[in-house]
Amino acid sequence: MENKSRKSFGTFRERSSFRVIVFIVLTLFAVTAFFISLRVGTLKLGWSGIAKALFIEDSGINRQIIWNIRMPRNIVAILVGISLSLSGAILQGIMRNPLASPNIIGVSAGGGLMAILIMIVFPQYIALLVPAAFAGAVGTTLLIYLVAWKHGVQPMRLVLAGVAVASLLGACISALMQFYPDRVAGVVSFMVGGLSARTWRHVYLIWPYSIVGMILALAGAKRLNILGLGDEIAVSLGINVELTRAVLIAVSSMLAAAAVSVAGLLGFVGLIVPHTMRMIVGYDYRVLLPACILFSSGLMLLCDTAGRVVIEPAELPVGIIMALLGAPFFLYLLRGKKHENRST
Amino acid sequence: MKIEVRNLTVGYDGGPPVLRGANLNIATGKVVTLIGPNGSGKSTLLKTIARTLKPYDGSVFIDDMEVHSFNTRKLARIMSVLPQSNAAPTDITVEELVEFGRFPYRRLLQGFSSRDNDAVSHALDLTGLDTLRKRPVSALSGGERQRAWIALNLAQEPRIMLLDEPTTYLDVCHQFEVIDLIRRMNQKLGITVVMVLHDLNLAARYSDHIVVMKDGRICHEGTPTEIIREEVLQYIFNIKSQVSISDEGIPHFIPTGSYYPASN
Repeated sequence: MENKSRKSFGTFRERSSFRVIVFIVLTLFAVTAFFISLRVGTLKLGWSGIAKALFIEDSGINRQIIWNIRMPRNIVAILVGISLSLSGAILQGIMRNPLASPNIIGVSAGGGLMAILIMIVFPQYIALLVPAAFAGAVGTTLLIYLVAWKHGVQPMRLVLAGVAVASLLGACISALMQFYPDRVAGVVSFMVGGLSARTWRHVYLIWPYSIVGMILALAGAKRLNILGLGDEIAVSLGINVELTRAVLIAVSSMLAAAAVSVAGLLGFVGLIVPHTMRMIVGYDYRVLLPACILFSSGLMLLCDTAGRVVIEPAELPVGIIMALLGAPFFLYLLRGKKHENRST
Repeated sequence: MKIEVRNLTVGYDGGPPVLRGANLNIATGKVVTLIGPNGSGKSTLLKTIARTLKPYDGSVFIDDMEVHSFNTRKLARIMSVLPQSNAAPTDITVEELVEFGRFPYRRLLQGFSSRDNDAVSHALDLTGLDTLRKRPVSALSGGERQRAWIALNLAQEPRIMLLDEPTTYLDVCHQFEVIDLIRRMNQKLGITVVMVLHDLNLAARYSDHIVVMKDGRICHEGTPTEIIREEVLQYIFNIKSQVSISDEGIPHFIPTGSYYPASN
């Protein structure tokens, strides 16, 4: 039977071997980006110096810079990239809307508002910034969900409710910045998203959420595929659509909340990484999500490194680099794409 | 697997009921077709049997078990649903689409078994898609595409198939291709078929039993010869028609005009 089908028609695409190549390339990309990021910076160290700083020395300036500055910053970059890209991929899947991403439906803005509120109005509680941002992002998701709820949640209502809530929260952020023009300085870098001065403390804050979110997202990949076939088919195949959707939204919200609370409003990753990967590996979430994990890690590391280098010794926040490089690349991919994403 | 609809009242999103107090019995192994004007509640009835809609009142029983008290996964191994319009990702292949039909049989941490492979191959064979299994669904003709969705249903190995207007977007040859397939599934595998059709002549030719709906109620039911009659069609659709009986004893109707605006 297998032979017959091969003979009659050329196979669509030798998928499995193509995917293997894609994953090898993506892994190389992420690993290379990691090492480049570790090496590049104001302190110039060769590979042996880096190895020494990592594994042999346990004090001194080299150890300090490599192990306590660059390493945790790299790990935060990876975790933030993974969290945002998975969050975006999940949201695009369940809302069946290519524009859905944590910042477009207001999840990021919710976290941002709480963080900015603390930075501007209650700077004495700055230690609570991360948990407050986390609560803001999760709370916003809950709000969107409740607003969209009417005998169940329809994807379209959810997107529209999200966009409305996002603009409301955006207005609140702008208002705060208007009222306290003298305190805006630190807020701007939070709003574009940056990784400057992120340390092990931030790694400890984010990793449990990122890892648990990642595992849950991967476990839900098959269900995401089925939800993509429409609610009626999903019900027919024995999926509890409302419950599955609610759980997946909670997972994506937790991922976005964790990322926003340590890196600011870096939402663009959640939009372009899933789309770029979808154009390359296709619809299947079981392949798409791992591809997003690898690509977003490499991309974040590369953009952050670029941000540290271009105007040395000053820094450009990673969010700016991401948008400057990512947007044109994304547009290029979009133009090269031959057909629409779905068909009847 | 018999289906029993008892005193069913259903609407959308808590709005006014579209279906009011419907009662229906569907016997095992039959092809039952729901007909009626737009908005008469046919699709609503089908979706409620499919457990996509929750009734305001009344219930649907499958072999004396209420559909919502079924484990939904277990029910997915008994009953499949083909919705009215379907969208698949452009790059999905026929085989991958059909494999989704095995989801209800999946066990935790277990891959695709040989049993699953057999079911998928069987579904592809039955629908004549064996040679197209590696093709993307988006590259198929309308009829082939509809057959691919039916193959997904068949991979569920259902005892009951619910189909909402399976022929509507197809040209006449593909309509017959799809409906012949449905009839074959019924005869060969003994699957009970409940479908919504707009084409009354197709309904007459391929159904054991026709259920007529109007204004959210079931108003007639019977064999094709009992239903496809001039006075019944006038009552339901408000049209003038001529009905003739073919040599095989199947009624055919030709519409000749409308009574609109209603003269009576």
